[in-house]
Amino acid sequence: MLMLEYAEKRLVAFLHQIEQLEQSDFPYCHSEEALGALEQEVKRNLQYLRQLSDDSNPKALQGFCSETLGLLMNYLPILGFVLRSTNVRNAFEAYSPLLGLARCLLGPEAKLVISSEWDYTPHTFLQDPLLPRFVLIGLPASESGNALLIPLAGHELGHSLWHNDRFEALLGDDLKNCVLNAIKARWPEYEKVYPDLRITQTELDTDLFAVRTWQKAAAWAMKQLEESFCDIVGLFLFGDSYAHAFAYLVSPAWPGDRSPVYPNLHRRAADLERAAAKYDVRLQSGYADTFTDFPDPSLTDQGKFLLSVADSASASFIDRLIETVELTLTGKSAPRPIPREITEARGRFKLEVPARQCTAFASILCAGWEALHDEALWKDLPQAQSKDEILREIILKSIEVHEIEQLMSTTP
Amino acid sequence: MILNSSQIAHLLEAQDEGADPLVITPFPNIEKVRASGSASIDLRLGCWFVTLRRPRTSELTFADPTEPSPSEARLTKKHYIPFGKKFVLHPGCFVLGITLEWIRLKRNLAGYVTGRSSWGRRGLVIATAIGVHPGFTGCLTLELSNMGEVPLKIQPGTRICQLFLHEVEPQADQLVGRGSFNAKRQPVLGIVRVDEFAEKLANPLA
Repeated sequence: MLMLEYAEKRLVAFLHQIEQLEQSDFPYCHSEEALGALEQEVKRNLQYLRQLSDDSNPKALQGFCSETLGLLMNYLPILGFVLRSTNVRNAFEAYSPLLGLARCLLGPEAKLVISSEWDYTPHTFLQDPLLPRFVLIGLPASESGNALLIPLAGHELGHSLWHNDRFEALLGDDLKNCVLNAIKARWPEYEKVYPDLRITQTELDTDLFAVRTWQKAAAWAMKQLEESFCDIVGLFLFGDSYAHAFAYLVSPAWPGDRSPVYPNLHRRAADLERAAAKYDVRLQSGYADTFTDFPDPSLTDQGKFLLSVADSASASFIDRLIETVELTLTGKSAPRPIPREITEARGRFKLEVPARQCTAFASILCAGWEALHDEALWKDLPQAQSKDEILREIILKSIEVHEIEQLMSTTP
Repeated sequence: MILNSSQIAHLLEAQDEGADPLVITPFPNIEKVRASGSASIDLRLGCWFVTLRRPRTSELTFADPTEPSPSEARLTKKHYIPFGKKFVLHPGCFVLGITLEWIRLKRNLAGYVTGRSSWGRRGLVIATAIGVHPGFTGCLTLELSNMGEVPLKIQPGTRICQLFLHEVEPQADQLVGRGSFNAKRQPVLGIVRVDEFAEKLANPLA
């Protein structure tokens, strides 16, 4: 039967590709371990497939062949991601401190793969069943060597933290109530966009048809909440360097419509300002105004109503998120930028030398952004390279020095 | 005058003072530097290496000033060897390495880099272009060549070379060590340019 033969050939080709990738120069073992885990799964599937024959139950056969195809479709992008983790364009020096941060947030078993994406949006593969302890973080390829954008990894780590610590379950009921209350507060509008429903406000949570109407708003609100949570985690861990990196990457906004699963861009920036005020992080005045909002997506009247409900529900949670992130990360003893270290690092950068004795590597990144914004820096020195190039080199070297100092202080 | 280890240690201890310090980062063990009694300071091997892309490079020559220089990415391939892993340098092979330490020289200091004898006796030649000029800042590119008969495993973090320092009369406001090798954490091939003098010699009267 051709179906069986094709399925086997596809798996063999995939396995062959893994074996080839295993010969790459991996700077860190977790990339190899990720490949190993995928290899085992493909071999397991192949072994099972080879026990099947044309006499097997056709439905079962079809189902399994389809499942193996799903496996390849899901994991081919991860193979590419792992391969790109070997590319020397990446900021390898940041690996060790980011792994330390991942373990601080997610536990000592956390594994990390840092890679680059041929996609402009920083990306993380979440809670993959085959790679349960892995955090996979990709920065856009054109920026993956840009040390100043390392803070964006804080947002991606936030996604892992959100799922690992089950914040969705923790906040779900309250968010649902918030959505319901938002609808009740705008009842005439609700009745207008759902004219056939004819329910009372008390039935909103019990009538099955009514539940269906607001579930999408609750789902959007929860996704928005996750994104806001990740932004706030990034700000908490990396201070103003996160806000600068975020602005560098996406301000004022990219073309196209807004996605309902993200808060609009200006609000994300305003939420960062709010969190910054709470965390004593100083942002430039008018930070949020460097961003513009995306146009709303083309939605039906119902969709528009639900999106506005989702927006108001998620917005009402921001203060709680700010507190939750602080409580959670403080509880995990997550390192934060230290003003004294930032000042000292800036002094070293002025001399064109790497920072030293920074206990928090985020201090280096904050100092890096300050140095970038200091127009007078190195003006009086003849340079063969641009300020950006020199700064990138010094920041990455500073991060390596941080790793060395950590190793020296912890290794007996 | 070549600085002795105590003088080097003294300057390094003052690296956070003044506008023109001698800096070596990661900071060496000052007591060990002082106690060594030598006239140099050991430097360690860094994590970045550069090899030539031999299959696509027919020759290396000086850059034609009328042509854009071929990029380093076209001529070379970078390798990153993290701490704990090793780089195997085979007999007859040449690779650019880098010091782990980022150096900053004062305006009245110059230096030169030499190999360590223990490596040299195993066939590893460390540096041939050895001068470090006043005002230089960055990691030092090393030209590593295995002149021996057996492969050598080298590991980031190991002591690979030594830096001798000597005083020079500073030139007012002139920093000569600030060329294209300045402020780098990775090895750099650089560009060999023909100057006006050589250009005239290359075009004799017909």
